[in-house]
Amino acid sequence: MLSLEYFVLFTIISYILIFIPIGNRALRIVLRIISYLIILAAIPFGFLDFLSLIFLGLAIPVSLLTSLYNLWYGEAKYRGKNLQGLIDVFNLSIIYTFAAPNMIAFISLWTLSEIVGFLLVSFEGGDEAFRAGYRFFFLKSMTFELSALTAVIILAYHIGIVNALLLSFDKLQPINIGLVYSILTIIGFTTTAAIAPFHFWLPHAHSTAPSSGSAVLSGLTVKMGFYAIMRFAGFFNYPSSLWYIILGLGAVTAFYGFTVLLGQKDIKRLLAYSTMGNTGFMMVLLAIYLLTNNNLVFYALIANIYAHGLYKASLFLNTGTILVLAHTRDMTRLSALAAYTPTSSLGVLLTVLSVIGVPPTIGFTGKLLAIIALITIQSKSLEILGLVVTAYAILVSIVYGFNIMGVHWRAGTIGYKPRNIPMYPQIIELILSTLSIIYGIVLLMFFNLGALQVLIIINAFSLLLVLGLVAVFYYNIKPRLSRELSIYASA
Amino acid sequence: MPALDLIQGITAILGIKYVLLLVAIVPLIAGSLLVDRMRRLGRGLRLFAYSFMMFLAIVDYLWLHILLPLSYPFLILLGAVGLAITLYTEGYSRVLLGMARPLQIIVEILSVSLLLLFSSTLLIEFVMYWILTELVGFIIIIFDGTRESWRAAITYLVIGALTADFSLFTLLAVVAEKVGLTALFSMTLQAVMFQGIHVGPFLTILILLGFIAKSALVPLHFWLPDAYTLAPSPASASFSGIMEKMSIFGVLLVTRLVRLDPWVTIGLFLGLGTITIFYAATQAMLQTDAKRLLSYSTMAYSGCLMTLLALYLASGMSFTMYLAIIFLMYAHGLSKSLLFLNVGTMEILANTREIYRLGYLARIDRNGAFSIVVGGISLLGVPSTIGFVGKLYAVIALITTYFSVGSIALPAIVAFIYLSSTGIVYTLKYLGCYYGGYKPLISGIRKYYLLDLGEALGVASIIVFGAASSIYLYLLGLTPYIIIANLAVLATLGVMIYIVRKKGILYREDEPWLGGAYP
Repeated sequence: MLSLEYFVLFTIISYILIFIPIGNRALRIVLRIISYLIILAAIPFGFLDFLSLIFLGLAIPVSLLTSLYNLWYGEAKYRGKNLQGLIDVFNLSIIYTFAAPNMIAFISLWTLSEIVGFLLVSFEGGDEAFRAGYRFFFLKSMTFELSALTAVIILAYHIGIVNALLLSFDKLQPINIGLVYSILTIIGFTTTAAIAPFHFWLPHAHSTAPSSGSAVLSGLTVKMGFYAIMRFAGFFNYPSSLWYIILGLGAVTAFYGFTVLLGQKDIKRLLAYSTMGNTGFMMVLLAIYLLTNNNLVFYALIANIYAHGLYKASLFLNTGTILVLAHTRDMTRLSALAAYTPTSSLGVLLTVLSVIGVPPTIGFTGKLLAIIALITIQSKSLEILGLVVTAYAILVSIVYGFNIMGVHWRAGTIGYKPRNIPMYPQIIELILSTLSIIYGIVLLMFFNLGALQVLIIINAFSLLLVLGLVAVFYYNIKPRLSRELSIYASA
Repeated sequence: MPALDLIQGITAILGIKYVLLLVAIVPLIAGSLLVDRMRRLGRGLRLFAYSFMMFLAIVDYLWLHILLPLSYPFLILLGAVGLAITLYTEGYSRVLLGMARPLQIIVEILSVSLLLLFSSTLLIEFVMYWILTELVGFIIIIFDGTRESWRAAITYLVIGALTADFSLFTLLAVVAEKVGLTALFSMTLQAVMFQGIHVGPFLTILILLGFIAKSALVPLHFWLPDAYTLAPSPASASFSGIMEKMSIFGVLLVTRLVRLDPWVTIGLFLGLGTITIFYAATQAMLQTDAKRLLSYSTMAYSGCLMTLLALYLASGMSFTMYLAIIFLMYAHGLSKSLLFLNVGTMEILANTREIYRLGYLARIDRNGAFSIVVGGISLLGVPSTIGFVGKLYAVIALITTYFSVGSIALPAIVAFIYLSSTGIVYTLKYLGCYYGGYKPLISGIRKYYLLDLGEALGVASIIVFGAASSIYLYLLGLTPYIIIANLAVLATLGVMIYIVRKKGILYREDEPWLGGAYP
């Protein structure tokens, strides 16, 4: 793993690059790309282990594109306030938390991300935003400190305080701990992943933060909880009763989040509740993985983490565009957005395909692997519980994916006054959406390198079919929407 | 990991297959893109593509042997139904929308995805193309863009996609348990068949769920009437004629791939199929919207096909029952797609589909009346049409199965009789729009010739397939004179229809309206 000196060096370079004051947008884009990707220079030296790489593979593209999107969004929506700096610091703290080699780096960067997250959630100002931010910060950082400090104390008891803080994660020896301590070390991360009973901060935080912030909060921050649990499970031998508790709480959260989702009219709250439901579902997968140690469940979990991170970040970014365009988040008043922002609506269409789970998107791979993995595990009760949660997740995903598609592609009465949206943010959204398809194909091929050419042929054809459908939308439905809207305008 | 030469063999097969499929797909898509700019060329390309699909099945059966034998009837049906629908769609959407491309391209994409599905070689292909076809169907249903069509589409998508996901992924999981994940994605269907995988009752139900939903058996049936009614008529014809047959393809394939729990499978299909027949056939008699009537009739027929499938499994895959399923599928696919096309004509001519507001359409649309008569008699099973062969085979197979498996065939026989007798009622009700007088409708609309052409192709395929399939009647030990008898019946029918056409029109023309004016 990365030694601490190099890690600090990388971190400092990244942060410095972000804060070089330059007015030119092209240069700022280049600087951000360098700053976010610089950690990848550690790969050839074997500095990053498998778990970090998995999460970085999601975190870097999502946070980079969010930051690039925010170059427009911060100016268009919050002129004069420095949202960009906040977003960049937040993104980098998340990236470096995933890359952190030892406890001290992990704890300090995580804490940084909590503080910046608080500022981000309460960025819009006002009573409600402050309350949401306060709740976010108080609940998350309190439980995190509890968990992290308990972990450090347990480690210190066995190997001494200096080693506990500075020894890199892969050199730590597994330690057996009891149920009470293990709950203490886990609770911070289940809170981060918004698992019941500490789930209630999430809808407020995700819906009051600026949209680019919500994208990172939903796409990456909740994944930090999963990362941390997997990381800690590497050097703590948790009792299996803990995973049964987590399994139950995850299932409850999934059912609660997905059910409350169905009644939402506010598009950001809808996405927030779907995040909650999905984290519950993924937590069920994680618990089943840690109970059975089945590799297939692990792959399913990773695929679902990627799928959710990509599509949720992309949908949250799109709510930013919607807010600037229509000044409303009420889904009953939104319709036919494709007439005004065709490119970003195209992106939403691709994203929704991933939400619904159409091949060859990553959503399809996630669902596929989840069901295959659940059926192949040995325990019948786990299988049935997992399948029920998966079925509910698929069902609700189809419903809300469809609703979001309707916001963009269904003609209806226009309850808003549209504003012009430039091309730049729309293209960023489209790129983020295409990642769903690219990652889907790559992931499917990753499983079968031997039959690569076979998979390439099949994927190419299904991709062509999907693109044909998307083209139908773009070239047939969009002109019709524009025509109907012009009729409304003239009437 | 499978051996390298095996993978190369699969790649070679896939390469050949996809090159052949491209020969059909490229003209199809190009033809639908050119449909407005170069009408003749586009039409020619599309007709070529559909003919090529049938040709492909024959060539593969004779020489190539890269497809499953199971695919042939479905590919030929796809080509035959597609030939009629592609011409009709062009006419329909040009009349209704002013240009043909928007609808044409979606209908052809549906055909492409069905072609890819029916010609699957690998297990993963079958799964992926199935889900993609669901999506294409979804997009066709929202084509009109009204609030009702979006609602119908989401019902369709939730029922279809959710259950399909579960059953197909369970199928993959069952195979993966045996061969491992790495080999799963390059597993050919034939290789899976050799594995001899047994499936327990719980997983059997999960696997069958998707096919039950797709064929609209009773607890999961409610998406069908709305979806079929709100889709554009040519697309409904495609849905009813060929897409609905996906479930038969799926069940036939899955029962060959894995050993499902026999009693669960037979019980589910027999029980649900019988209930569906009674429910849907009764509903079909009560409908006043012509398209809803046909939708319910489709549902009843798919229930019937599923009960036959159950008996096919119960009788240990008897060949007579297999032929009965295939012929009944052809009979239903060809005649129902023709009737759905005809509903489109009704929409264009009369601007309504309410049966009781229509009447004497034969006076303004003689060709349409002819095609509706042929479609109707084929649905009823009058000799010389494909419907006759289908029904005859079904009856014979049902009776032989009754003797071999005993009284479990009884509900299916009763349901089949009910289906046939209600079929007479609603077909006559439908024909009332053309020949009867619910409400006289007079208008001087000229019908676009492509509409006629499309319907004529549908009629032709009913008669051609009827004649061709009567060869199979030899297998039943009938005399060779059957073909001569067939032709005689055909000629008689033709004469009768001609007389009715002439007479009906003359008869009405003399009658004055209430005000005393002549129409």
